[in-house]
Amino acid sequence: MKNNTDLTKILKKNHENKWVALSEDREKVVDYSETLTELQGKVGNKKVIYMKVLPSDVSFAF
Amino acid sequence: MKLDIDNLSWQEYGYINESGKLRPKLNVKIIHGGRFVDVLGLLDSGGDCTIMNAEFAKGLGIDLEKCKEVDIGGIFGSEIKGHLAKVRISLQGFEEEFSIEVRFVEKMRTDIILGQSDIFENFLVVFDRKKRKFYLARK
Repeated sequence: MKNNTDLTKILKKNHENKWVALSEDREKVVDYSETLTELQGKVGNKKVIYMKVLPSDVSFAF
Repeated sequence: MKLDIDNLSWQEYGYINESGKLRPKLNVKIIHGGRFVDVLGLLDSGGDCTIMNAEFAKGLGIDLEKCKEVDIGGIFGSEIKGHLAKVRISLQGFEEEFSIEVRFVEKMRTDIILGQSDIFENFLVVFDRKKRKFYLARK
């Protein structure tokens, strides 16, 4: 499966600092929440990829 | 010394574009007991170890209160506390699972950072940012 690498198409300002569940191909946001536990409850058994979205206006030195 | 890279089986990945910032991230399955979670993990060649957001621990059935507390240093001076636990992971493109030691950290702003002692110990990694690609091969 080819995975989308351009998340700018799907991640918006309201996703920043939130947990997001992406579809397997990363083409869409399935759902998002303040906490991972809450999000996992919403998503249930769907196959998703989780990420926590960093704010867009900050550069990070990990 | 000549590095023998031609005989290895390389997996290719694209840099992830997050609001214009390009990051070398790939799908990682984190497994503990009978539970697992799929996440986009960042390869961090400058990190000593692998760090995960503590929110993952609950879903994986890991009781952090029973885990050894460790200090984790940041580049801006302050140290934070983490909890050490063993999990198994598999990386996108590789079927193999292997065991790593993870530092779980509360209130982390991101999800997972894959550092030197785990990923870079087990894989050769090539970053080609100009072409927006990176590559992994199992050692």
